[in-house]
Amino acid sequence: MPEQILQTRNITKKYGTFSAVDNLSFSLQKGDIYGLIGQNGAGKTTLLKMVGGLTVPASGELELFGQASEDGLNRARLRIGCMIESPAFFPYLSATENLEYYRIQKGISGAKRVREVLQFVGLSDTGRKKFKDFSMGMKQRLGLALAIMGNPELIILDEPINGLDPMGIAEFRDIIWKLNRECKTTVLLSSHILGELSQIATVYGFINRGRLIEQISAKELTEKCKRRLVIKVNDTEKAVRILKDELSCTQYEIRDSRIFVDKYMDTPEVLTDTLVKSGIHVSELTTTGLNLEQYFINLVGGNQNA
Amino acid sequence: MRKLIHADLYRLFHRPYLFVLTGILCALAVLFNLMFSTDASIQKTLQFSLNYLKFLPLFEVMIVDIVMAEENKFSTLKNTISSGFGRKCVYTGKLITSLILTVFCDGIAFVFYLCSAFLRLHGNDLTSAFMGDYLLHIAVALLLIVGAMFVAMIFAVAFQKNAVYIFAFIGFILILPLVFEGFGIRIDIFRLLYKITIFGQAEGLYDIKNAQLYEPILVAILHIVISGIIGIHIFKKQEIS
Repeated sequence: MPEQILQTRNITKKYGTFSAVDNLSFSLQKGDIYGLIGQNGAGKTTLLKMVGGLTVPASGELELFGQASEDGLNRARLRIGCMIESPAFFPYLSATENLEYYRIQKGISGAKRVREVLQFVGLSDTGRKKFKDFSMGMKQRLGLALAIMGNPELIILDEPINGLDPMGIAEFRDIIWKLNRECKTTVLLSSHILGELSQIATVYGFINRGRLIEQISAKELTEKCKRRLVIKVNDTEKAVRILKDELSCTQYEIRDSRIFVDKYMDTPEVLTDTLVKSGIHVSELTTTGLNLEQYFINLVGGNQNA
Repeated sequence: MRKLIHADLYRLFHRPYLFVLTGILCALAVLFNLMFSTDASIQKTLQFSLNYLKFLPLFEVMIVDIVMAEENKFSTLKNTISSGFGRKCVYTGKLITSLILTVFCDGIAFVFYLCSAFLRLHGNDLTSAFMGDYLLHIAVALLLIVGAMFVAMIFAVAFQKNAVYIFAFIGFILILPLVFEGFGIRIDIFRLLYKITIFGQAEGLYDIKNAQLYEPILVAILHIVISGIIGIHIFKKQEIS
């Protein structure tokens, strides 16, 4: 059974009467790349801030590396690297000086570690340039460098690809993959760029109005979102028999008097011709399938309508 | 906590601001000496420097600003807190760093003052007994400065906006005592309130006897204890942005 790194139980954070996070329970397993998805103001950043110790939950329980007490959580936070909200550094210091400051603070031995992480994120040639003169992309990279500097077991990244150019996004994706596969680092990240998130996340958590509305693995999501042919016929039972006997198609599903077929996506005419020749009237032939964005919109829209 | 202080000292000694601030303090110390003690003996000159000390608590606004308030301004505190440092530890670490910087800046300025005073030595009325009393007064002044530092730390934590922090501190340390002093001419309670302010005590250091030094010491300790408790309480509950 995979080790549980982070768990929240009915965690709540209120600002006045507004519940930014409302009785939220979720868990994160070792090795996951967990993509937290939600609209603006859904509670993603507040949740990450509670995990990072930047804000205190009003109620509920937070467990990090099996620690739930205040001191225990602080000890556990030594094992994580964070970049919550925008990357923040001292504007009058260079990238090296900023990282050196945090290296001393975290007690990481060896000044060469600073050079290593700067090289890792592609900032090794910034020299004496001050942080205040950095572009948004450079700031994001420095934030990532800080998050990984202490070789953390868990990295928390809030909107990490904001401000990165397409090449920067691709490089960022490679860095996350590399950390996850080579260093076995668990990653918890939130992003608005769902297409990008869908390329790296292994687990998704959909959050809306402070509540976790669904937690699903990438495999399950792919299954749910995969493209299928949808046919509506006058005799469903007969059509299914023909599918099995004549077309050797066993992967289908009947829902709402429609048949969802996994095969023949590229040659739907084979399916319709066979059915028509057998005397079945096909009244509808469509395709279905969602990408992450459509799935999220359906989920949140459905939830909001409920 | 040692690592926190070490890191902060690394950061602060890597910026010119600290050296500029120390330079200004030194220049003011020498200028003050040259302007106000031209004909005085060395003893009078040193005694006069105690009067100058009443302004030093005001400089704490700058020390605490670079140690703590600017972390709010640049949102860098979140990096520290999310690294697993307890809030109490961070707060105490910042206070110790501020104290080190205060001793560094004020110490250098004091040395400059002494040097400029001794270079212009008049008379030979300097005795070891006088120097003992003088250094005792300086130590008490330092305690009052530490009291002001604790007060500045509360405002630095409570007010995220830099301008508000500065106005609140100056208002509390300078304006409020002056208001008390003004009203104290007619109403006794305000005279008492003036006496329990840092500025009120620092101003009186000039002509206070050793036996009366317990008053500024008590006022300083009162400010340190109350501000320390309130400051940590606010910081522990505060949302770090």
